[in-house]
Amino acid sequence: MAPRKKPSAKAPVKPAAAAQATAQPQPIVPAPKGPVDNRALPKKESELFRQVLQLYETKQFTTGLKTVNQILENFPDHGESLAMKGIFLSCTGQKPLGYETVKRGVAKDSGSHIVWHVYALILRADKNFEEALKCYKKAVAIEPDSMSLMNDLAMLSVHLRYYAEYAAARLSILRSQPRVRRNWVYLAVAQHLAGQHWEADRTLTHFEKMLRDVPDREYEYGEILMYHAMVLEESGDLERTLEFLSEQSGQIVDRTAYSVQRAHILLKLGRLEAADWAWEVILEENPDSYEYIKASVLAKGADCDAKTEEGRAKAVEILDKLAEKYPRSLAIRRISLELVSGADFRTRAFTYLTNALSKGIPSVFADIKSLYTDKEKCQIIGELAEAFRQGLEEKGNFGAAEDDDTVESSTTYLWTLYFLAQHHSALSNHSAALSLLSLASTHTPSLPELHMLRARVLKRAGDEVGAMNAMQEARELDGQDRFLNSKCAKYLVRAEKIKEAEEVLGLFTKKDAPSPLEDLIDMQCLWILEEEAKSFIRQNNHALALKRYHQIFKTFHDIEEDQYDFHSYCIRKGTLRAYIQLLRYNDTLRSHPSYVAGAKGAIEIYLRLHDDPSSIQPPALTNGEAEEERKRLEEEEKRVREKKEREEKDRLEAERIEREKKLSKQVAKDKGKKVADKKPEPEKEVDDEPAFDLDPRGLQLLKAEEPLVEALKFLRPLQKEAPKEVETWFLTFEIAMRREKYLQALRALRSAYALSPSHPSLRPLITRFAVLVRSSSFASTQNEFVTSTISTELPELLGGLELEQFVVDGLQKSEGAEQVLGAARSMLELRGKDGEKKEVEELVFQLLREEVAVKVKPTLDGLRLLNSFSSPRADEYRQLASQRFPLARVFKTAEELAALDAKAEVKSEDQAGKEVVEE
Amino acid sequence: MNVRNATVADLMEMQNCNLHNLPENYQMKYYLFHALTWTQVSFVAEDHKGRIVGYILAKMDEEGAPHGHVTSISVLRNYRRLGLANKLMQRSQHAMKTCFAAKHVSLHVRKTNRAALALYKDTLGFEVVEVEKKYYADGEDAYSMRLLM
Repeated sequence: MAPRKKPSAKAPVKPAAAAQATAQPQPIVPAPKGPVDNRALPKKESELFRQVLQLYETKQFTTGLKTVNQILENFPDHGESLAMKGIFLSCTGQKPLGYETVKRGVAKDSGSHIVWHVYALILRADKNFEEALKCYKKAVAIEPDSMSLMNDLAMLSVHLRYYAEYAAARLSILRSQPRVRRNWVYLAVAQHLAGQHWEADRTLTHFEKMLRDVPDREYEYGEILMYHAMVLEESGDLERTLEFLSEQSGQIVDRTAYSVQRAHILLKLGRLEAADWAWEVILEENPDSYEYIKASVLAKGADCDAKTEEGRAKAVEILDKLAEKYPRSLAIRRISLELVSGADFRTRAFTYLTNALSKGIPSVFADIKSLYTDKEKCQIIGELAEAFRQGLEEKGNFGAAEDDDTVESSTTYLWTLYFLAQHHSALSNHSAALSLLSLASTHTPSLPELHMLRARVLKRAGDEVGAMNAMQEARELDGQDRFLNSKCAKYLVRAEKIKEAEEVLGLFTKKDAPSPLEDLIDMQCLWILEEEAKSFIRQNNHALALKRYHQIFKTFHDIEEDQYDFHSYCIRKGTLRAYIQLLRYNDTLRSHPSYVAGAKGAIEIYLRLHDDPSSIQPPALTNGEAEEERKRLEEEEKRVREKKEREEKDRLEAERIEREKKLSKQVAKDKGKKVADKKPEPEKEVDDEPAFDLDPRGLQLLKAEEPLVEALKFLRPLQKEAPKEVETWFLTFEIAMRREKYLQALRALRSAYALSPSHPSLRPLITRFAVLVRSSSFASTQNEFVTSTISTELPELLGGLELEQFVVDGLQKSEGAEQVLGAARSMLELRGKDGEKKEVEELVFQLLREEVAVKVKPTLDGLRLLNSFSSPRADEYRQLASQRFPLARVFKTAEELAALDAKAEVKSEDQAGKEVVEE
Repeated sequence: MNVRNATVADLMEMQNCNLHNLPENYQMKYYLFHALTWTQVSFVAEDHKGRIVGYILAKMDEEGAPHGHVTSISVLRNYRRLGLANKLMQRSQHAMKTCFAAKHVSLHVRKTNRAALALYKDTLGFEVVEVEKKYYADGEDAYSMRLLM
């Protein structure tokens, strides 16, 4: 496969170039000289100012600074010159001073578009898009005819999703430059985004008419037409869309997209006969697409998502015909398995599973596992697999019939054991799964899959160390496979062996990277950051956990910013449908599970820092680490000091040059000759940020003075981009309560309730809120509006019950481990810190009742809950949990663990000894 | 397994799949560059629950006769033997041909990556055209492979 060196250097030239454009100087249009007293300069300075603008464009920042200083010498309050001086300073590593100077320029001459433009440029270079847009608006208000200002304003508007403004800006650009073809496309997209479908349609129609002599079947033109069809379909006028598609069909290059859109519309319009024809052709092209299969069934008058028995039967009938036509499509048969039940399911599952096991398809269990939500199907599959095993052991085949005398290959038996082990593991029969795997391993010891599965089973049983060892064995069987490598590293991290994990990862990361982890972060690898953060929390190293969460935050930030260059790139390329996908995807970017988990982790640490700073201590550094940290601080001090010295030196140097220049000019004048200035090379912008990480251990992060403000930084993107995640509202609630924003807290509860009314984490939060607001002190501290809103809206959340009843109601409804825990937490909130805890304890103990199908994680949560109020029954619970999960390390005492590990060590030494003997 | 055209919303999962499987990795911007330039030629395979288990990330090469180029293709280890790589490749080739009039498709593979080489050669029908010296950042040579369509 292509190395990343080459493509990044070569292929993405266009977007990369565009990326630079955002940072590159752009021409600043000189202001018309009006009758403004403090703006007009005498001839000499006016000429100098013209040079200054040019020097900025050619990136000669130091020279520019010197030149602009010449103006300021005589006109220290000249606003535009001050602004230019500010941007030069900002580009030469003196950002704070630069900002200050630009602001002074703005204050001196706020009627100049130049000062606003300059201000916008430095803000935009700093990615402060929101503020930059405000400045552009000021500049445009003063200078409405500047297309370059308008273009920049438009770009920021779309980036920030101000679509109405975007459309207005694009319209005014088009009015000035109607001959630039691209402007029509820009306008159409802007109108579409602003929801002006009719206008977008009109713009596109006009644009298409403008383009004569398009060569036949030109890709870009075809893309514009398909985009036009998308706009029409989203306007809701399906008939017109259909007409448009058939009129333009000859010019549309993407035949698949054309056919699929047309076929979907035929379905929506209920023209089943035509739709059936259309889908038949499409399915022929790709019979493995769920979308195509389901639509084909719809076109034939049935529905794969039918709720009735009859409806499902009808769908299956059609699927069977399709399966006959496309025997190689597994997807069709897999969908049928969802729809049938009972004996029919048994027959079909038999065929589906035996086919897969004979072929040795490792993923077959993962493929069918989602059927297990149906208990009957789960049982049938278990019975089938057990029968396969028996048949293979006794007769060498699956035992389809009494007189079946086919003989399966021996690997079929292996894959059957592998399947059966997964089945038992899914039902939490860990020991059954392990003994099946050990049987399989004696059959074929070198199959990495068996060790990987053993690792997963052990992980589920709570033995992270055993799981890690098993995964190591899997990895050692195929060192060339990065998948095994990644999994092994993940399991090492889960056993808190971070250093070892990074060494393993280093076998595949870039060799010239500063460290394996840095390469992975550079490549935007999220899983390692998430796993390490969780491990650091378990190790009580909250500083590094926070560090990793901030790294996740930054990765998403970078990905969000990637879209900037595509606002113009896609218009040039005509890939407008994909561009719309990009914008829509970015609107929900932070609902990605890694961001949600990362934000939750970070916010929880900040909440602890707020509640009880003493509960989080900075990690103890080893001597070496402390030394490193000290050096780093020294280095930082040195950097700041040197920067100051450099600035001072620059200043003196500038003055010296100034003096010399004056002198040499004098000399030149005297001699009647010009001094030939050698044209200097454009300078590199000096970055203010240091190249190295100032806080690699997160120690500074832990010193956050306002943890809730930091928490809000993680929360806001969630609220904006993940409002459908219930977790967003739980976190909103926690922060709002601590900031005493009770209406926000109430709204958060209502949002969570609307998304998932019976979520186990919701009831305790409602209880906490209700307990607080009924306290006598609450009403006296809140205003009328707050208390009256709460008393109107809270009853619905309590299901119309009194608080005590609401909590008790929760106990009765609690089924399943998470619900039991939720009920216990809710009771704890009701009883308060000093209240009676008997009921809470009893609830937690219910988790360990035989009939509750509990896993290690919620059982551990139960123990933590007991510990949170120092329950005297905590150890009793721990012992019971340990009996229930004999392999789980979290329920063992330190002594038990030490004994266990010592035993393992002896065993591995024995093993090593044996190997030596064998050699 | 569901095989379908990749959308922008799939790219992060493709990147995750790539990072788990292959030594050559790319930043999101490079994935975006593919999806926003040649929308039609990248595909994903997902399981019944919608998790991405395999992908092909491809582009067009304008140098010489128009042809497609596979930037990256991989299938999660557990999802092998389902013929997914083949299906992904075929879908991509079809799109290269119909949308961009591609005549052949090319790719590079590390000289030492025997598993991948076998996949391209034996399963997908690619042939080695030449050896590109020091193609990879670490100095390793690449086989430049090609399949006529």
